[in-house]
Parts: sequence; C-alpha cells; structure tokens
Amino acid sequence: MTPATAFERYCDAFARGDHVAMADLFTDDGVFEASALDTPVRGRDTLLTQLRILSHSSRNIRTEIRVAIEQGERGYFEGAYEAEVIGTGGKIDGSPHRIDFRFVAFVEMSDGRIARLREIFDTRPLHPEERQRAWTLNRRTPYWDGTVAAKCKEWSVYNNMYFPMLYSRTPYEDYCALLEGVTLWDVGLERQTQLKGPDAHAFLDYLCCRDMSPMRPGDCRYGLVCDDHGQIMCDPVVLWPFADTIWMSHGSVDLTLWARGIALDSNWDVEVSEPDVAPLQVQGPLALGVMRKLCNADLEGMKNYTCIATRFAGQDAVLSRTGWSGGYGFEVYPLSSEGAMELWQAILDAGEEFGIRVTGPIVSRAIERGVTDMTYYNNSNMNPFEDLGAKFVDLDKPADFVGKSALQKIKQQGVRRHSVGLLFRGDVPRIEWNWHFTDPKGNPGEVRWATYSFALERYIGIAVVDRGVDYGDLLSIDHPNGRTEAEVVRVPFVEAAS
Amino acid sequence: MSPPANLMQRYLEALSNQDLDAIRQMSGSRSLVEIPFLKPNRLFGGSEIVKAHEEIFANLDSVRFVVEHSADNGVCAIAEGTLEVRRDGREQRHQAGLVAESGDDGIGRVSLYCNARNVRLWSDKTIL
Repeated sequence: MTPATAFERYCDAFARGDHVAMADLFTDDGVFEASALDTPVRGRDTLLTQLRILSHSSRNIRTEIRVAIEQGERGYFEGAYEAEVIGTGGKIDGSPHRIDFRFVAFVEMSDGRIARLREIFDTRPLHPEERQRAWTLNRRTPYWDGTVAAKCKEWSVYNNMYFPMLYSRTPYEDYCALLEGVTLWDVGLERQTQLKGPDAHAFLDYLCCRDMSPMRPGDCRYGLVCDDHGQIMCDPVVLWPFADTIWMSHGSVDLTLWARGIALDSNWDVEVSEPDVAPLQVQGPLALGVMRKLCNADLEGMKNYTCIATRFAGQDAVLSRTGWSGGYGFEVYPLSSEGAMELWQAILDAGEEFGIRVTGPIVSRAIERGVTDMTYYNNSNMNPFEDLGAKFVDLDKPADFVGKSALQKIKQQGVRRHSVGLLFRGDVPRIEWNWHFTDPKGNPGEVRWATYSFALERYIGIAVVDRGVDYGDLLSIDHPNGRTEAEVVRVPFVEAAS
Repeated sequence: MSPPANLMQRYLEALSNQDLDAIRQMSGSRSLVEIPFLKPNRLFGGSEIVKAHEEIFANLDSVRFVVEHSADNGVCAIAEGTLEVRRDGREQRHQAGLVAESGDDGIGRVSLYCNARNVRLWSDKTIL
C-alpha cells in the first residue's frame, strides 16, 4: 500500500466512522497526531479507541484530498474536512456546530502500513476567540488556573462561583472519557454547610425532609431541603466525615445562610459555618486507579455513599464515594484550599497513565441516569413530591422538620405534578431556560432538562408535568428553534452499566 | 514561473530574514498567502501581503520555519516542519506545514498550516 492509497482509505473510513478499518491501516505501534489532540495516540488499542471517539463525535463527515505527493515511504497531503458535531444542540441561530477546516497531513509508511500520521490544522476558528471573561462580583474556585490551562471555554455561576462547564472537546469525547476512562471536575463551587456541636445531627434532620437519623459517622446520604412552604431549596449530599462534623454539600443556594438563620437565637446547640473546603470529582471506571496512587486508605473497600478522612496527595482530605456522574467515582474534599493547585496537579499527574481528562459535569450521562440538580432558583415553585426524588420525603419520620406542615397539606390536597422523561423525535437546542408547554388535553408542563443521549442516539429531556400527562403521551414542545414532538417515558433512560 | 520548491525556499528565507523587499518582489496582484496568525488569515494581492508582513516583522523578534521534510510534484510543494517564533523575548514552537504554488508573478499561493488557538495573533490589527 502506498502512502496515498493508505491516506485515501483512512479518509474514507473516517467519514464512515469505521474505526476498525482506520486502525487496520496502522502498524501495531503506529502513531497518530492531530492538532485537536493533546498528546499523540500510539498503538493499536489506543488508536481503536481514539479513532472511534473522534469519528463518532460528528456526523455528515466529508473529506477531500486536494493535493497528494508521494516520495518513497512518505506522503504529503493537503485537503479539506467538513462535519457536524453531534450533541451540542447547535448554535443560537439554529445552525449546527460544525468542524470545517483545511489541513495538511504527513504519512510515513512501514511495511505497507502507516507508521505515523500527522494532521495539522488550525483549531482557532472552531472555538470562541477568547475564554469567557470573569467579574469580581463572583468568586473563582481555587482550581481556576487549572481549568483555564485545560482550555475551559464556558463557565456557569453556581453558589456565586464560576463553574467550569464546557472544555474544548466535542460532547462525545467527554462522554466517552467518563464512561470508559476517568475525568477530573472542578466542583469547588459545591459549598459545604458545616454543622458542628452536640445538636448537629438533630439539626440536620430538622433541615431535611428525608429521615437523616439513620446516618452515622462515615456515612453519606442524599438529602432534600425544603423551605417552610414545602418548596425545594436544594438536594445536598450529606457527609459525616468526623464525629463532631457534618457537611451538607449543597447546590446553588445559600444553604449556610438559611441554616444559620434558623439556628440563630434558637435552642439548637449547633455551630453553622462554611469551611474552606473546595471539592473535586474524580469520576469514571478508572477513577480507582488514579485515587490509589495518591492515597493509602482502603479505597476498594469503600461502599457507595460512604466517606473517610485521610491523607490524599500529601494533604488532609475527606474522600467520598459520591458524584454527579450516575456511575463510579469519588469526590475529594481537601480540608483547606491552600494547596489546591498542588492537589489538582497531583491528580492530573497520577491520572496521566489512565488518560485522565479535565471535564465539566457530563450532563448527557447524568440525565440518561436521571441525575438532576435542584436549587431554589431554577426549580422554584416545585415541591419534592413533584420531583424524581419524591420517595425520599419521609413525612412520618419521628423528628419535626422545616416544611413538614406544608408538605402534609400538599399531600392531603393531592400532588398536582410529577417528573417524567421525554424522548424527543428530533433535534432540540441546548436548554437555557425552562420550556413551558401545554399538552393536547390542556395540561401544562415545563421541560427543565434537555440534552443529547449518546446511549439512545437522540435528544432526551426531563419535564415537570401535570398529573394528567401520562407515560406514552405525545407532546409538542416549543423551544427557541421551533417545535419538536416528544414521547413521555419513565426515568432513568438507561441503566448504570449501559 | 519558478518551481514551487524554489518559491517555498525563497519565501521562507524572506520570512526569516524579515526581508520585506523580497516579499514585495514575489507578491503579485493574484498572489495568495494564508497565515493562521493573522486576521484575516487569507491575504490576497501584493498590497495585503506586504502590509501583513510589515506587521509581522514589526511585532515579532524573529520567525523561522524549519523544514524537516518536503516534497513537490512540479505544481505544488509541501513541507513538514517546526515554526519557531520569538516575540517579546519569549520563544514559541509550533508543529507546522507549508504548501507553496508558483504563480506568474512569484507567489501563486503560500499556505501556512498551524494551530493558532490560544496564541496572540502576529498583528493586533486587521489587515485591510
């Protein structure tokens, strides 16, 4: 096979998404380099994985070789590549995100196969010209520099802190990193409401509508916090890392202020504060390998929803078997942010051999698994009976709790809405605000989550709808780019192992 | 019309020597130069090409394309190499490719291929 034949076959196979055919063109120790990759890809197994991920990240791929020059075992090529990125929801004007560029490629052959392929192109036009700018009105997490270095290009604001959401890869690349490898997330914006003192456990139980009394030191537990009207404020993961300390690792609401206000001038013997604890998430099936290199504790033996206080990467930290991935992973809570960037770098270094990727939360996977995030703001006017986590409301628990009488009344009067899944029958844009709709019978609802599912190869969503909307119903959802039909289904969309 | 390999060599020498006269001499009314570190990155005709190189030479301490391999087919020459740039005393190195085609007036097309993401452009101005 000549260099030109090999490159032509490579381009054809890429356009078909046939990663096996592509990898077959390489020698067993073949190397693939491209401007979009952080590091070269070496060897058949890695090539198979990387070429699959790259070629499956886009659709309607077209390649064109315009100049081909062969010189013995070397080939020199100039050409063009066009494709549409899958899963972004497209641009604001409704057009798809595209990856179109001209390239040069250099091929070195060995025994009739590709020993090295290097593609050079400019990725500058494929991304925003600059990273999003910050304002001093909001706080940065202590890992900010690491997220910028990792080419974060879009932040949200969460607990008044910048939340790195999107980096410079396609959605499918990040999705695969979570499901097949290991990912590092800056979630320093998940703040801890710390409860200390003799009444800490009882006070926790008073704040949550779930029964938190079974918790013991070393446990983690999903909690639901409501206001006095029975509206959800947030759904924290509660950790009990030290005998005298409980943390409510909460969503985007000032839970500490709320809890301090309740404790103020009360009979509760509890100290409420926000410690300098900025967590990281290490998520994915290879997370254990990374964590083990940095910690001597028995991580293999840790059950889901447990935590330990230990030394991690030379720092005092709490580790928990929790996360927002709907799969395997850990959260790391250093007891101080003084060594934040050293911790960040230590995890990246330990993860290098596992191909660790810095990503934001992988919303696509979370929604597939029915993992959402609730805050007082974006889920306002929602009570916990209307949520996917309705089963976690313990109205009959022995302790009194905030919102109890309101929730009893809601239950007595009948819950008006429930949360359901949506299978869209077409593309929808990225959801930036809730999409309100009315079904053919006049029942109202609102879509609160919408994303592309790589497992189901279609867009999915989660909506809060009137009780009159039932599974199997067909809805017409208006969104900023038009109208798309959706079938009402149960959540989760996929099982954990899929 | 000079062979494309000669044109490529002349252009790279002019670039590394910051020789604006040489650039002017090889840039005709139908010449095209593509450089991802400029805005726009496609420069058409002698006027735009010369203005762009004035900016490059004014802003960079040095710029050099080190050819590692090259080949040509009589119409087009392609080189693989490293782009070495020094600006404000700091050196940057980029994997790069270069494609050159001869035209009647010298440059038919010179296309520099490089990943310019997160790199300050070689001119803060738009080349008009």
